[in-house]
Amino acid sequence: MIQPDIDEIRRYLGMSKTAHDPVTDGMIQECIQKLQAVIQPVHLYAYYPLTITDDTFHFASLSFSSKSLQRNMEGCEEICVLACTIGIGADRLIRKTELTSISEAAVMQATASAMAEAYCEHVNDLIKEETAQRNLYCRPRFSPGYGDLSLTLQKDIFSLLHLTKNLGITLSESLLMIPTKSITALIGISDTCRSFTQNLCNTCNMQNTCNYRRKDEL
Amino acid sequence: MKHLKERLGREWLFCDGGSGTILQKKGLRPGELPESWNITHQEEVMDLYCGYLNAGSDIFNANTFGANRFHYPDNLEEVVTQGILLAKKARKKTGREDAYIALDIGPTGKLLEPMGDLSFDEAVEAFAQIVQIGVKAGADLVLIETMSDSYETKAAVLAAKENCDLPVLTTVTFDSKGKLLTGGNVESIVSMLEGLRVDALGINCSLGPREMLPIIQKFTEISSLPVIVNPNAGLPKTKNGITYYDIDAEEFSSCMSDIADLGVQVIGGCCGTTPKHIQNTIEAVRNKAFIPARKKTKTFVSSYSQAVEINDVTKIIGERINPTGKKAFKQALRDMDIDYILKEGLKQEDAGAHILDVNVGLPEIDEPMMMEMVVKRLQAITSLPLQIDTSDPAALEKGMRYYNGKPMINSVNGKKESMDIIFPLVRKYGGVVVALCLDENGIPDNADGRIAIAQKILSVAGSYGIDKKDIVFDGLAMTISSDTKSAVVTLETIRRIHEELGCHTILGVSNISFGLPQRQMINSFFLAMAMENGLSCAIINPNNESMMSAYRTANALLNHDPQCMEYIASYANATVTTVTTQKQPVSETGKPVPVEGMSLFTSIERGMVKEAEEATKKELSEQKDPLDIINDMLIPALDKVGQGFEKGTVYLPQLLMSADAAKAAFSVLKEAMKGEEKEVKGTIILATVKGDIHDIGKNIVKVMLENYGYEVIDLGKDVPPETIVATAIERNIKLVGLSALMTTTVPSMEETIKLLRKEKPDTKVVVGGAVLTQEYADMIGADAYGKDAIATVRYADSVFEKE
Repeated sequence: MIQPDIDEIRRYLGMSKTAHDPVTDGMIQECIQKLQAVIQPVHLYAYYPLTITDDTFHFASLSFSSKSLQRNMEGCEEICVLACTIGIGADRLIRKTELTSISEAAVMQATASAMAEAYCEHVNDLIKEETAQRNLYCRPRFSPGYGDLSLTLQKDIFSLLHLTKNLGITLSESLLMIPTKSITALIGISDTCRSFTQNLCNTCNMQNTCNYRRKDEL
Repeated sequence: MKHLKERLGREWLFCDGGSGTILQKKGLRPGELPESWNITHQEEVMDLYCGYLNAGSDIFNANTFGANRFHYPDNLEEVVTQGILLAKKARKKTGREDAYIALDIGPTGKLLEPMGDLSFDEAVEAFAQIVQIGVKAGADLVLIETMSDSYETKAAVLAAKENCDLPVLTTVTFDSKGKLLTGGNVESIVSMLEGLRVDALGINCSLGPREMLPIIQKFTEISSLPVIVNPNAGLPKTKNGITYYDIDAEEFSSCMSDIADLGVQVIGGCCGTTPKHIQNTIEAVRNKAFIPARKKTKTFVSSYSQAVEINDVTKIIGERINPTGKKAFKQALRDMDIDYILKEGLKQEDAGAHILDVNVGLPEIDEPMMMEMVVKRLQAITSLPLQIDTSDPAALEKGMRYYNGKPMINSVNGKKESMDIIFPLVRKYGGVVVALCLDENGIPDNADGRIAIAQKILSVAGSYGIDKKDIVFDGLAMTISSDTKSAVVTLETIRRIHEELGCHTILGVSNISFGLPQRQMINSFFLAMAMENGLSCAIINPNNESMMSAYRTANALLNHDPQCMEYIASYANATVTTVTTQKQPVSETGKPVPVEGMSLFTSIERGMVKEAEEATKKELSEQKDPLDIINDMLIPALDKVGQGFEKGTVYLPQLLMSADAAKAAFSVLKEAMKGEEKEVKGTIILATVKGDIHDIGKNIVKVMLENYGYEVIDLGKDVPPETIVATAIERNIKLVGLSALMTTTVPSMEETIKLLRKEKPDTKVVVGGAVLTQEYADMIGADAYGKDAIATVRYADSVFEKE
């Protein structure tokens, strides 16, 4: 059972942590239940040896540049590529809900996003455990579209992991994933523990104007 | 060489095994497109083929799995042709001229509309292109495999069938729970594929042979066609960062030998399996007794996610998606208000319908186009199978073609003309067809005559290869007000069709009472009597509680409701009423209990839908003018909430709850104002721009604008600039609202604005979406930035007030 972070759902809905609204809270719980009945969470990840020259990354048959990712993965010699989705059932349910209640649809949308996030977190934990068994350390995960990491990388990740075949995730012409509640990410692995608290907002080029910025973590 | 169709289902046939895993061992890098090796690494590809030919595979795949126009926009023809030419060479080289070359077709990697951005027609076209190239190059069969979406599978099968006469084999991928990644199950996919008349079907990839066992069992229980089983060499495992499959050839072949005993007909492997796996499997299975697929007699109709069995337990077919006698429905069709129709569908699903009848015929509309649109939209939100109901053959074909599953079809009859038109469509697309027991001589007034027509229909259907299980006979309910013996004749007809012909039956129940008072008394009793006589399907209004209570009661009495569970669940806490009421939606948790007598203002402010409806009705009953109710109560309440939202004291969910409540109040008012010219503040186009598929933000803005008195033309998501501009010109639109969620789709917003400026310079543009800012909006040349739904309403007011 995926347990989404309720505060995260409230943040997506533009509510602060202190804003107390029992009606919305009730709706969130109801949306979680309805989503649990339709989601089909699946995931996949694979490890590859990594070389980084300046800000250019080479692994498997991929090769691309990113300064933001270079800051994240400096010193890593291995990379884990992960993908997960909670399935098309969530998209169908959101669409259906829009017809009867736009308020519930908005909450459903936010809840489904938080569930995908929670599921990804769970997969990330599996990777961390496996990595720890090899006495190695994981960097915070980084997704295409963060910082200067181009969304076109999605195409390569899709052929690398055969995501349509394996997880049923498809890529639209404009490089958006469908089911929409899907996540792909890269995790750098190194033999040194570099603990840095990461607020991903700080790597984002929307950081000064975004409504969803994690203000409490600045 | 003996034709594959002569051998398929009559003797053991063996497929090949994994190819990607083998090419990787030969140096294919992860992420590299394997089919490109047909040109760059021909020897390795030959080696792959020869490995399986030497192992004894009867059917081997050309290296064309991912070869489609999306992966190979420039050299598709070369890639596919080379893949097949190499296969021919390999066949010669190994002396295996008896082996069949499969044109291997996998998923496109795109999701079909309306959930995704690839239209069904484009998908068929993309697959057709592969098939044409493959056939020209000399493939012996088409193998559509590793499919996880039934809709895409249907597109591929149609493309194959429409472009060649080769055998078409189709396998899909299941998860360990026996579901497709898009939600289907064995029954739903088998019914659809049988309907499309593939030559064999089955399962491949994703699971190992052991995990597949229960799913294969299901296949052999359901399928009348030969079953193909191509598992992986176990589930993928990772060790020290390397993915591998751990079932070796010996273990694999022993598992496959067990699978062979389940009554499957075609066997091979998928990811992780090697020529050794296949060779051992062939040795283990070859001399086993071969069990041909048996013809099954169960009748199924299916949707993308489930199959509904038509049997002795009566199924409810909801009749409400039909304009006959419904003013509002007719208006919705004329206005292309598809949402209205979708809601009719959802209501019936909630009320307990098993199948939804879809009739969208109106003389003044383009029925085929409407049928296509409604079927596509409806099947995206309901999991119930649909019954395509039309007398227009063109509309019927559209409905059947774009349907995601095996539909029910309403209807054919005993007239030659009708059968000549309908049966070829059923043969092509599949379906369970409703057959009316009437012909050129009209409707016989006795059961013998109707049964004779039923027999005629069965024999003609048979000549088209349509099985008797796919015909459901309509016993024809006709009003007892003109002929009092008609109910008796109808009941005898359905009983005898069931007993003597062994076929299923259906009735449009309410026809029985036409012209009589208190029709539901007659209808509900007649339903129960028909059920006792073995009725398989009842076309009724499931929102009518007296019909549903008759249905549930009869099920309990006829031993069709184990432990009376459904009866108890429905009525344990109910008070008995005899008036027609819609089944009340279950109260939502967390929401306050209904408060009687709450004012309209308060109920909207607090976002309470039911209360807002009641309060509106109360205001109307006090003879208040609907327009005054809007201006004096609704809008001020919305304004108050909107201001709170702007100040930050009201949050988005609360704002939207108020919007829902106001919307409910409006629909009550709209009903009351029927016929009167409604006052519209202005007409606005809303669209999510091309490339973007996120539309909830746009939908929120739509609800808000409508509540504030605007007419909204909602062009949907992924809308090309040309469509937006053409609509703006055609309807002389003053304001266009554009939405984009991703930075990557903002350029297409900019493109739309540019085109509008050029073609329709007086139209204003307001933009919104998660990544937009005032600065960004200015940069791309928008007139305004709608930071949220309220800001957009305020801007619209400023545009239209200027007039």
